Amino acid sequence: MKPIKDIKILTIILIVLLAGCSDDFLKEESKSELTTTTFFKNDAEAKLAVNGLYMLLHQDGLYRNVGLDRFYLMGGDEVGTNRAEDNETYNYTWNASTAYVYDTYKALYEVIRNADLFISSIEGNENVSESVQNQAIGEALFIRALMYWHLTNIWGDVPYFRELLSIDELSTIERTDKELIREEMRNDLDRAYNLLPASYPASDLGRATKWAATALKAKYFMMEENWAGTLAECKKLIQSPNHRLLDNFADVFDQKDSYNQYNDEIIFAVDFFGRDAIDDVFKQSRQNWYNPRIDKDEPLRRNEPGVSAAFKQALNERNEWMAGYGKMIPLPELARAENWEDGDLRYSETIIQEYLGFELQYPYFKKMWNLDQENHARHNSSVNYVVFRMADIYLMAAEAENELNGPGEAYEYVNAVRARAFNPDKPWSGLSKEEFRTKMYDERKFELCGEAYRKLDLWRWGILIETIRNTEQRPHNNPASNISEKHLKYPLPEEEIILNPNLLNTDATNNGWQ
Amino acid sequence: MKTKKFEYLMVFIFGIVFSFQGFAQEKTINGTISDDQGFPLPGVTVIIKGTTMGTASDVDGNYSLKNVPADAVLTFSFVGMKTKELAVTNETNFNVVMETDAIGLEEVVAIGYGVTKKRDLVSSVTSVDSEVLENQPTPRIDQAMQGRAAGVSVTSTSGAPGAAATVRIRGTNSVKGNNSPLYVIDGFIAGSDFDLNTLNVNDVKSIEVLKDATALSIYGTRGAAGVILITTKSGKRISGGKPNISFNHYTTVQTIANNYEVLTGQDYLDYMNEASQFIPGPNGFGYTDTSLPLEFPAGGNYANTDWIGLVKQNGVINNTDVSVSGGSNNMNYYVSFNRFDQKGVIKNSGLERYSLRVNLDMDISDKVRSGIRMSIADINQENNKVEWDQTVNRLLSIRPVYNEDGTYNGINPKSGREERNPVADINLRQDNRNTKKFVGNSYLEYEPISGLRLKSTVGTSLTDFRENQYLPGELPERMVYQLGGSATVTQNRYRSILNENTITFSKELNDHRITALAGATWQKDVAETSGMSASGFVNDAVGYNNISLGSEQSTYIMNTGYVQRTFASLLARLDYSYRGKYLVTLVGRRDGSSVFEEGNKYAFFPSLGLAWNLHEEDFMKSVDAISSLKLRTSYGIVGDQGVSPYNSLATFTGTYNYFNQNLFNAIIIGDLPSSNLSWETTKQFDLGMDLALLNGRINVEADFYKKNTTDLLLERKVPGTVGNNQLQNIGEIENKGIDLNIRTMNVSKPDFFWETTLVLSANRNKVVDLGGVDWIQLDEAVDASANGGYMRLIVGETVPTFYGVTYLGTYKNQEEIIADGWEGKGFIGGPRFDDVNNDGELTEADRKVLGSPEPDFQGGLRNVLSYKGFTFDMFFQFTYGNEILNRSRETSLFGKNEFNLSTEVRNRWIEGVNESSDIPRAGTSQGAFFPPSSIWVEDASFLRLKQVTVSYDLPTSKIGFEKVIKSANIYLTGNNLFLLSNFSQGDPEVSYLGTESLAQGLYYGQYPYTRSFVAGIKLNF
Repeated sequence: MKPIKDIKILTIILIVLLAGCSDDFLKEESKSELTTTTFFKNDAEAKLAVNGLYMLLHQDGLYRNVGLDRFYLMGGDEVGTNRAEDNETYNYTWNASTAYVYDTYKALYEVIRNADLFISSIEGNENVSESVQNQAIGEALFIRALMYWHLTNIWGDVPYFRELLSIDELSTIERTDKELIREEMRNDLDRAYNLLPASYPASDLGRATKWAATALKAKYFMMEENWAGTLAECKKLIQSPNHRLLDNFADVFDQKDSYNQYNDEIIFAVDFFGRDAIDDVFKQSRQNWYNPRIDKDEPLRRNEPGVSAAFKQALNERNEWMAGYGKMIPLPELARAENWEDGDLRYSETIIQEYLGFELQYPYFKKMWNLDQENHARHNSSVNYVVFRMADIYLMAAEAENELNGPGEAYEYVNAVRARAFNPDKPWSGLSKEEFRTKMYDERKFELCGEAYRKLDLWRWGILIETIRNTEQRPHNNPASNISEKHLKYPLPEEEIILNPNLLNTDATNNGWQ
Repeated sequence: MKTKKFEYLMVFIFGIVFSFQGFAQEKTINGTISDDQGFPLPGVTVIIKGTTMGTASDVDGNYSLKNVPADAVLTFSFVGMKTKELAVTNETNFNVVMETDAIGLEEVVAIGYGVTKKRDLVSSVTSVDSEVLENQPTPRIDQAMQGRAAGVSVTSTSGAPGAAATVRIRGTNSVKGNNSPLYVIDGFIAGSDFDLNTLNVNDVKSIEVLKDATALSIYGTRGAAGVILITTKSGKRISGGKPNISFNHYTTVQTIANNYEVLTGQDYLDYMNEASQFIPGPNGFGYTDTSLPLEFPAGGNYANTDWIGLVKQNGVINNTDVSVSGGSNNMNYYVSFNRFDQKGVIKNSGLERYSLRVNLDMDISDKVRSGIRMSIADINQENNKVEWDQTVNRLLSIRPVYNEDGTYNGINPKSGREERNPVADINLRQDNRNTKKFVGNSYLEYEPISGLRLKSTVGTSLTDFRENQYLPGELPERMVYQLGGSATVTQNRYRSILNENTITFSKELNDHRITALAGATWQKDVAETSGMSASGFVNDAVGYNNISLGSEQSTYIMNTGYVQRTFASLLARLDYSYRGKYLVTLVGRRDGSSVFEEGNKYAFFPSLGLAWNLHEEDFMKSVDAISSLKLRTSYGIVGDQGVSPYNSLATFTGTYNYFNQNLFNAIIIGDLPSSNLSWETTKQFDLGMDLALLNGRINVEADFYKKNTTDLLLERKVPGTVGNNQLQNIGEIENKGIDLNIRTMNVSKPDFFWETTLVLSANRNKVVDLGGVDWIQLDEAVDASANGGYMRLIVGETVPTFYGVTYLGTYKNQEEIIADGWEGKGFIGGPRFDDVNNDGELTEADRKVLGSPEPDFQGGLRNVLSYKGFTFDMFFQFTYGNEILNRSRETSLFGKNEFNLSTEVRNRWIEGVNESSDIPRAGTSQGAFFPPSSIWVEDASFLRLKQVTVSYDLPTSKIGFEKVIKSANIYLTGNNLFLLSNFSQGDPEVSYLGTESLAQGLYYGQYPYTRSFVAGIKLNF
């Protein structure tokens, strides 16, 4: 071989090598990630997806750590705080740039995006058996409808999508009329009702049943003041063999045994009791704002000699502690027994102002607190979040029946709830339609206070502003001077509007806020 | 496609192998080489010009070279000497005298994919000699490089054996991407995460730091953070020479430097007693109520535990190197063995390394050379078991080590909560890791005609990593809940395969010299990770060694992962020089990477450099004072692929949900996939000067640079209907600065020599754009408990910037409290902050810039004196103008119930005693959550006497050992002997969050730094 020839050959080879940068070599193949395009190949994968939707309900902005509570619970005429914190909520100084408003908005849409993708991927997927399809789609439809229920309650018209749109489409989406959303969601709930079972074995408690779908549909009708619809759905529930009013009011909230939180009155709850097997701590738990703070607040006479120590010892003996926040406590008027109807047994199960013989500085919601230490540390409340329960359904039925036909048939429902509240019984009778309606304002308060129903009730009755203005507050709160007409709807978050100006296309005022 | 490529490669390789050629016309030349003092010079390279054929002189300076063509020119070269050329005549014996070259223009400097002479260097490259790295009491070169190279900032993060340092070349470029330099070891691209513990410092021959665009753009997308080229030692070709056997051993004793004192004993009790009697009082201005009971009444029996004393010990390092090197006419070798064994200054921590290296080069024929660089390391690390930040910041002296029943105490006596016990940690925790690393890089080089070289390399790096951790059930914090033991095992494997093929062509034609390089490379990196854990062990007998025995099955967690990255690149460089005066370098690399999306895989990184050797000009010849002067400038583009693999794929994330206490697996949609991401682009301009004065007595290398990194990868907010954030190419950071290296030969006499080197770097960093937002919080993910945060990226400020409210000292009277509107919250003797907008709250509006960890300048100063056989080497290292954020101030100065305090509180505000103090009164801050403030920020400037070495060359000939021992040297080194600093807690060199974090400069108590004394001996046989 001559050197010159070698060079030619080698140069050619090298050029081929240089040019041979193979595209295959640079192709990115993921072996350890689940790509969305390679999923939903069997029943098990469909089930994983649905489980994920329930997990997402545990986001801070939703049912965990006082997310939705800021919209439904805090700042009404029943719940206040023991100190000047969370002022935006309690004083009605929230606005379009309030961070928690945006957190909840984002959390709701995260659930919706997941539900959209899961529904469209599972529906008609030949790799997934029909029974699993039905179950999965039923649950996803319910959860999505629950998210749009919150969205339409809080903001009215909102961006609405039923399948996962592209990033571009979602970035430029406009608001949709809430009436349309509600109608389609009710249709989805009809479907969910048909797809879902009436009950689950113990290992699956916490999943949505057809009764959860029914309750949510009743709620939708109620928001639309479609009383016939409300009544029909409530009647279905009342006739359901799976749910009933418990005989004893206190039993509904009995969380002493964390392992046994589900009872017949509960229609749907978000499950917060999961223990981490590795470190034996709660993995699926929420903050507890109903519980008192020891030392800082309680007991009342903690600065007197020996009181604090004796109190702590008494708690310790019961394996209890007051390691909470004290930021969701009854407002003064609700706490006063004289404001309740004589003989209402619910009062002493609802309000507590003295514990183990020690006077407390503040009243607390006895039905909502849980001092148990083993299953209920400060940040780690294992108590489930009850979303729908039967007493609410009975009272809704009563209200709807009264609105439709007057009190005649409505007594039956309200008196079923009152039967366990009074001994001897004090049923309602002989009321006018108007009297029935107004008395219901209080009945719902005494039955459901502290449970995140009240603010929405006041809103739909149109008495939110006047009620807030006439409610006695603790000295550090003054919502009366701040609340106005515009607070009846939340503004879409300011940052969201900056990122997607199309949200102003249908309403340039952003619910009257700009 | 892949196999086809492989075939081409084989043809290429075999093509080279089968084309060996003979040579005609040969004769043998020999002679002796000596220096200008008349001493024989061993190891001088003798090469037939234009070929790779050559040899090196032996111990007596003799050389012999066969097969020399009759018309050949021989070049004689040696580091520190001027290269000589001699034309072969009829003679066969040439004795050569080499002249010292103070300017070092003939020094060979490694650059990417080749070497060049300093004279011809266009780029900005800093060389670090191996002599400054040798025998440092650390297993890592990053530590050893501190203060040695201009433009390179090395910050220790921890004194733990084997802890990495933060290395930044010319500042911080990237937010989400990489800021650590790329390590290239003997041509093998080992990555920026290369574990430097696996490289024996004493095997390193030289380190080159590539800094400017022409040096870096040959590394394309991996060059933006700078490149560190490491060249390991090789044997010398000495015809007929004997192997050189070298033995080196040192022993180091280490103690904790800058001991930090915490509040103990009566001082602590006094403070807490004072706090217990402080109340807001009836008027709300603060009041001492002496009727309240003392927390620690006199006469009580209170524990007074010296936690630091219980966990520290004297550290010891033993390091042994044995190497054999040598060569013959057609091959050379270097084989070394190293054992490094360190016992840390905290009990039960340490590192032991065994490493073996084989470096081999051989001529297969006149035209074909081959060789390999290979190292194997086995490292056992006993991880630190103690949370040092807990030991110095949180543990209370009143907490006993043991309970009355002899078990370990695990409860903080103030909070009543469970807390780790460092003595139990040391005695009970098991935590160790083993790393095995093989790096091998082989080459085949073919030179068909003079000046044309074809080179192909195949290299691989294999890493096997295992970490074992066991927390026995006996640990007090686990005993509280009866959790039983818990074991975690992590086992990862990494492999990287690199093939590089280059053609180099050099030609000299009259006044023109041209060198051209072209190449193609492929690299594939694969990481396979796995981990498992189990707990509920009923006894502690087997732990991680038998993870399923005795543990609870319900606690098992397993995970595995697989990540692959591939690169395919083309590269080229053209060097042109006219009469050695005008130098031009053109560099380009076309890089392809798997982490980017289809259609976006490739990018091109070009650069251009110009240099002018002024001293070669006639008009400069008359200026005697200037012995050499070169001006350099360059501009170019380098990239960084800050994207993690699989970022553009839409994926699901695994999660779980409980239904009625039953665990179910689940999935949700993962992070938003990115789209159309590209490289972060760094455009860098460099203007430099190399100046030698007075015949090389004074050498100055100075560079000014300015670089702008654009297309920064940042999370951009997207509407809530879309998701949370999406990674996009937005944002810009600017770095500009000066690198300065001044070396002066103060005295250069035969038996007295004094040299001074000053290294100085000044970088100015600025955030130009963050994609539309004004600032990004850096600490919220790592330190959610700091009220409002303290570390940010702010447009217009340095990366990172400390941020917070201004601390004004203590309230001295009621009037000040009233004036501030702080009644009920501010107390006399309590802390006072600048409430800028007077709204009675400390909010965002009250915060401002408080400092930055970026120094105004930093560097090192080295003096070497040698007299006869003695050498004295003294090295100072310094930084100036940087700040530190002392995270412990919140509790150590203000007092929080369950945390310990600094001894500075002895000088606190005390009613009627010390009312001028600005350290708050005891009890005024308990239960308060003050935001980060200016008192957390401290001056971090320092001057450190980093190293003093005295070494002595034993006169072997005088004691009659010269037949056996060629040379013997003993040395004594002291490290970190002296520190000048204003920092309240010892050593201000901190980076609590590690080397990769942007949030540098955070102090919260890292593994303590040491003061070391080294004694060693070096023998050559």
